[in-house]
Formats: sequence, structure tokens, C-alpha cells
Amino acid sequence: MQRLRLWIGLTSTAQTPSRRRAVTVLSSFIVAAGLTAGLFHVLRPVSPSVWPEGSAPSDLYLSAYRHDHTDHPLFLFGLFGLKEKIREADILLTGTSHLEFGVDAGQLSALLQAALGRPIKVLNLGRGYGDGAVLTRMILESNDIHDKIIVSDLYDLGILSDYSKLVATWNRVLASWKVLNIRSIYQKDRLLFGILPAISYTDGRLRLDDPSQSFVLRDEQGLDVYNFWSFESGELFRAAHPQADPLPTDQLKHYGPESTLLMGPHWCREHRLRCLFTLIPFPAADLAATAAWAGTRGLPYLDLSAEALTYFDTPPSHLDLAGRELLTRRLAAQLIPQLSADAVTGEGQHSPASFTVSAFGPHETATGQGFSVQPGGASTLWIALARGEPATAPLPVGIVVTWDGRDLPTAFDEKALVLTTTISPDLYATPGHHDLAVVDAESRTDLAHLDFLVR
Amino acid sequence: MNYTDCLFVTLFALLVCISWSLDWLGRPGIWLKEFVLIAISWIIIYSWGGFGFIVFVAIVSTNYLISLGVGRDCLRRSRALIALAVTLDIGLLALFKYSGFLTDTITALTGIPLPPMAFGIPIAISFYTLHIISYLIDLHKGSITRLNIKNYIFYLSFFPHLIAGPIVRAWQLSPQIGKSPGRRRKIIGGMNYFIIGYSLKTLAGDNIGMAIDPYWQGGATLQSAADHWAIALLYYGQIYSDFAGYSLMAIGMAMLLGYKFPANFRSPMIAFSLQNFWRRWHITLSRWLRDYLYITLGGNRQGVWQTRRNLLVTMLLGGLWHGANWTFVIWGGMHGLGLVIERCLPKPPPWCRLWVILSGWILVQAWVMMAWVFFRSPTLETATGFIHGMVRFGGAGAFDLAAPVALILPFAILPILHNTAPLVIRVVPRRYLGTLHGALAGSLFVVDIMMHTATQPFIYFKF
Repeated sequence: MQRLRLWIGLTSTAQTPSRRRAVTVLSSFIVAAGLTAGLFHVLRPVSPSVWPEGSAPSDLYLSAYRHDHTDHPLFLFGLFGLKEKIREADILLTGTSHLEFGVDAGQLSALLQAALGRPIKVLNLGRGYGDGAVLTRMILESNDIHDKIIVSDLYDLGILSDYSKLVATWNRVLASWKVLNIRSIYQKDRLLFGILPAISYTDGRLRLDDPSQSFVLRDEQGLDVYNFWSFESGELFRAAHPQADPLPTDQLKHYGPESTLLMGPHWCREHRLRCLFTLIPFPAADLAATAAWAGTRGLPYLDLSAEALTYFDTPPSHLDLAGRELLTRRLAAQLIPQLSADAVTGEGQHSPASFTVSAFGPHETATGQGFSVQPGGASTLWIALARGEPATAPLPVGIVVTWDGRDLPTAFDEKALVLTTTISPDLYATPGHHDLAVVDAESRTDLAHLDFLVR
Repeated sequence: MNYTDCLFVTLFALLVCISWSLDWLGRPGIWLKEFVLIAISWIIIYSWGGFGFIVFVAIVSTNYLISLGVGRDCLRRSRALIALAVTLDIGLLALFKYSGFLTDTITALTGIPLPPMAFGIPIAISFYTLHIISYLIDLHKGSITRLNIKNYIFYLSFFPHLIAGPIVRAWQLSPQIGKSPGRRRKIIGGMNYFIIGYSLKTLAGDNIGMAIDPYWQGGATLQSAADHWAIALLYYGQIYSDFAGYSLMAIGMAMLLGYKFPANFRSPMIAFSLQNFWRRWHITLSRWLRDYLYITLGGNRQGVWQTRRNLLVTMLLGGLWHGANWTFVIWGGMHGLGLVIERCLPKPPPWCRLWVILSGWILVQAWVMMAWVFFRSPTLETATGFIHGMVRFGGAGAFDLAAPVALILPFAILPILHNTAPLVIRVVPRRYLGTLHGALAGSLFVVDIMMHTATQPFIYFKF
């Protein structure tokens, strides 16, 4: 030990006792650290795959590493310039990881631009943990987003995940810290890759693993997934994988939880957003049933075919790179007519109305209390219209009144310009504010919105 | 923000380098360094919640203004101001920490439904309230000189001790503020403390916690008495590793920045009496309670029964300080009762002292473990059920947890080793101590880098 210390040059015979002790401690620290590192270097598992180096573009950010996600705090707090990026976008794609992996915002932007002849910025706000409309609404409200087109995936667990609930309790400082901390752990593990293992105690077992674990990289432009890489399997997203057989039809499930109505017409109108809905196809989903469900809720729906789509996971639910490219083209084909119609009418949600609502009644009722009750038990509500400008403009061919997006039986007296609608008792059985909309039955364009209060 | 975060450790290393550079510049550099440390401390407080930050700033500034009138020059005014400040500080602590507990208790006892009052506990309020009160009382007694506003804020905000102690008295820290660290900065010692504390927390505390939390949350059931004792022992190891680990990290961080903090733990697992235990566990809290509560109540100067009363009240309030739940009060009460009983016991004759120490160690540690059950349990029902399981002998299988405990043993052994280290150090020749110390820290440093655990917040952060 003395010779080693002399060799290192840390020892001088003229040193004070405290300095000698410090040198002793430091030199034994270095030696012990080296020996321990050497031992674990020998014991470490051999990596079956290499860390993707060099091929990745430089403008990527770490979206997820191990079990930690950065997207939730990044989107919710609009960190590191993301708020401005979200506000500058024309179309925001929102949803879970199905949408995160399933649509290429950059490609979609280019396709729409080529078709419509004007620049259109698209941003992919898909994120993991199955958070759907609840989190989407929080993100849009916290970033104060208005005057945008939102394309939202109906695949949604219907609740806020535990992780999102935790993130919602943070402030900007803590959220920034957490994101940077995840990145620092990633960088540390990259440095240790091939040198030292990672020790963890998981599921009651002590494990010695390769330090690199699964991570997702997204590009900073459209926030599209660049790659999803795991230690065991290597590249997941960009590589082709064998596809599972499709499920029998009777095992398919429709999607669309009631929480989607948090982004219903009333809320979208308040925030000057045009909300469109779709379902990123995956084999277990009944697309037709989902489309029908959206229709009954009065949600503008974009139908995407599942044909020839490919997935990287088992059971298949997340599209791989090839599948994403195919689906993005289909989404563009659905969006182009919508955006073209906007160009003709001005703005999709604000087409000029040929009339206004002059009065309606009643405005409210007590919970469970009927009003103008008909023999069948349903209540009746009337809406009086007044012609707008020009007075000779034709009225819509069909008008329907909706209650929170649900079509109601509607009769229109064209002479008196009065709409009457019947409302079943179950609709006013619970207290709250309800959105009454007068809708063009053919184009499904909202013509007017009223508020009905159940006390 | 946790002090075991990878980012924190990296940035702290950078901060230490900046601190050394500023110290080298002399008084202006030290002055600037302390402003930087105050700013960083305030950012840390703010990261835990803007509301907590506002409460902290409001309480600190109000108390500073009050402290301007406290001193030996006018004792009557000083006493009145202290009474005002203590009432205000304790009142605010009670409002934020105990209002929900109070309303729930009243509702449970009387059946009268009271509106829920949950304001949320501002971060670190339990700790800086004690700091503030000790400053005012020491100022009144003349034990310390008045601090200027910058030094006062530094004393209260300094981040290593801010959130979970050690409870550093003003007379311990104020002489160091604004002065060159000199011999106080011990780089090797600071690194050693930090690495060992970090290891205790991440290797032992977090992993033991992950292994045994399901048993406290009802996700897994315990069968035999041995299982219950095993979980209680593991929790003892967890809370020691977590809290002592944090304290060591705090002491190490302060050392690296050029400040000296008092020790907070001295091998409590080898205590052979409860009095001895409280001289080894959370030392700074037990001294604070002794100096500002026990002695204020009369200490041991008013007779036997008053002494016992004072002990019990001190420990009950000490338990309540930890959390707004009857389980904490019972935890404190158990310690108070144990201390009172110890005082009633006669002094053992010299010939059987060793047996008394041995049996005392067994009884005290068992009592402490049973008290931890109340400390950890979320409800009284959980705690009483657990205690029942501990004392009910038999049950399916003698020790069903043998296999899971064996898996966690590499981590569970660490707090025991740390507690017995002073005994080992006594037998190691002095010339090898530095080598042993360095080798241990070097090995742990590498293991710490490799260790991956889901970061658990420090247990005492929630107090």
C-alpha cells in the first residue's frame, strides 16, 4: 500500500498527520472503487444488442426511459419552449401511445400542405399510460390553446393515470427538474453501458442487468416517435416484426369512454377549438361500432381503415414505422376534405348562420322535475328562431336539437320558426349544466348553443 | 426534488466546486456564496409547492421582525414578543398540520360533522418552526447575538438541513455564517458522509421499503408472530437507513460547503435503555425537546411525579410533532411511558451490570420495534392488529417470510452494520482506520452508481 501510494505520488514524508490520513483515505477510496468496478465489470451480463449510436438525428428528445415518461410534464406545463410550439401548430393530434406511435405529424403536415397549397403545422401530443380526453383537456387548458383543430384518438382508459395525477400536483420548477433528472439518468446509463451493470431489486429478486433499458426518442419538430428501443429486443419501432393473427369478430370491442365528452361540443366551442375524433386502428378494436358510438354522441368522426397495418408489439396495439406511414396517409385523406370545406366557408366551426335563437324555454328545471310533460312522460322544450342576415337566405334543410351531443326528437314549424323537442326524464335526472345545440342535420354543423340548467 | 436524484448529485458536485472558488475570494466571495446558497434553497422550497414557499417567506419575515424586539435589554417586552411569536408559529403549524386531525377527532368523539379542513402541510414547516422558536428563546436568554436579515434567512433556509433536519440551533450555525470555512471544510469527510448516507438511503432504505410496504398496506398478509417481528425489524432498518442516511447526507453536504452540522444518530440499535436510545436517535430533536419543552415544563426540578409528568408530556408532544394521527401520539406515549418506568427502576449492583445491559438491550429494542408499529401504521386498527400478531404465538408456519427476508438481507444488513460500526472501529488498529474508511466509501460509491431503485421520498420529508 505504501509503495502504491508513493507510485501515485500522493505521499510525502513531510506531510502532516491529517494530510497523511486524507491521502490514505483517498488512495484506498480509489483502489477500492477500481477493484469493485472491475469485479462488477466481470460479472455484468453480456449485452445482446448495441446502443443505437450515430444513426439517430441530433434533434431528438428523450420521451420515456425505463418506467419514467417526460411527455406528461412537458406537455402539461409546456416546458422548454413546447408551449409556444403547441400554440403555433394548426392541428394538434391528441391521445394515448396508440396515437403517439400511430401518426406521423411531419408526414401529415407535408401531405396536407401539398393538397391544400398552404403551410399547415401538425404536432403529435400522443403520450403513454393510456391517458385520453381527461389529460388532453388539461393540456389544452393549461397551455391556453384556442383556434386549433384537434384530432383526438378515442382509445382512452377513461380515467387519469396515477402518473398523470402525480404530475398534475407539480409546479413548473419541479416538472422541469423531473424531466432533466430522467435525462440525466439516461446519460449516466449510457456512460456505463458496456462497462458496469445496473443493480436493481425487483419483484423480490436481486438483478444484475445491462444499464440500458427501454427508451423512446421523439423528434423535436412534430414530436413524432423516432425510435423505441429495448435492451432485450433492440429496435422495436423501426424494425419489421411478425404479425399476430386477427381476433374473431365477436371478441372485438368498441372504444369511446364517456370521458370523451369532456371534449364535447360545448367545451370545444368555449375554447374555440374544432374537435375531430377517430380511432387509431388496432386488431382488438371494432371500428364500425366505435364509429357508430361516435355518431350517437354527435362527435365528428374520421373513419380510418385497419387494412394492411402492421404493429411492433404483442398483443398488437402500437403501429410500427411502416404501419404509421400507411395510417398517416389515410388520416390525411380524411382531413383534406374537412380542411378544404373550411377554406370555402371560412372557418369550420363558424359558418354564418341564416338565423339566430331569439328565445327558448324553459331555461332550467329542478332535478327530476318535468316541464310541459307530454302523455308519454317526456318533457317539451321550445326554441324560437329569428331570421338573420340576409333575411331571404334559405334555412337549413333539416334541423335537429342535441342534448350534450345526443340527438333529440325535433319538430320544426317553419312558418312560426319554432323548434320543439322532447326530452326524456333520464336526461334531467342529474343536476348540472347541459349543452343544447341547434345543429344542421345534414352537415352536422353547430348553428347555435344554449345552456340548460338542471338544479 | 430528492437529494438522491442523479441530477441533484451532479449539480451538487458543481455547486461544491463553485463554493470552493468563492471561498478562495475571501469575505466578498463567502458573502456571494451564501446568497447563492439561499437562492438555491428557495428554489428547492418552491419546487415543493408555491404555497409552501409563500408560507415560509411569510413566517420567516414575520418572526424576524418580532425578533428585533427580543433581547436582554427589556425582558418583559422580550417575553411578551416571544409568547406572541410562539403562539403564532405553533398556531400556524397546528392549522396546517393538525386541523384535519382535530376535526376528525371531534367528529369521531361527538358525532358532530365538521367541515373538512385540509390545507396541506407546507414543506418543512415542522422543522423550521423549531428552528425559529429556538432562535427566539436563545436570543432572549442571551446565548446568541442577533443575526442580520441575510444571516437569519441563511440559518433558516440552508437546504441541507431545511427539509428534514438535523435541527441545527442558531448558536451552532450562526458563528459559521459569513466566515471562511478553514478547517471546517473537510472534503474527504464530507464525501464519506455523503456516500455512506446515500448508500443507506438508496441501497437499504428504498429497497427494504419496496419489499415490506405491501404488508403495511394490506396487500400481503402475515401469518406467524415471527413474520410480524421480521417486518417490524425490517421497518426499524428502513426508517433508520432512510433518516440516518438523510442526516449523514446533510452533514456531508454541509461539510463540503464549509459548514459543520451536529450529529443526529449514534447507533441507536445498540441502545440498552430508552434514555440511552434517545441520546442516539434523532439527537437534535431530543435535545430540542429537552431544552425548550421538558425544561420549560419544569424538568426534574419539581419532584418525582412532576418529572414523570413532564417526561410523558414531552414525549407525547414529540410524537404528535411527527404527524397528525393518534398512532404518532401512542408512539410518543410508549416512549414516554418507557422512560418513566426506567426512572422508577433501581440502579443495578455492579456484579450483574452486564446481564442488565444485555437484557435491557433486548427489552428496549423490542419495545422500540413495537412502538415503530404505531409510527408506521396508517390507522390505529392496523397498528393494534399488528401488535396482536406480534404477541400471538403460533400461526401458520413458524416463519413464512424466511425466503423473502433472505432476499432482502443484503440490504437489511446495512443498517445493522452501520449501527455496530463503532464497536468494530474499537477493535481495528487506528493506523488502518483511514484505509478501511476509504475502501468502504470507494466500494459503496461504485455500487451507488450502479444501483437502480424507484426513488422513494425521504420518510421525514412528510413531517
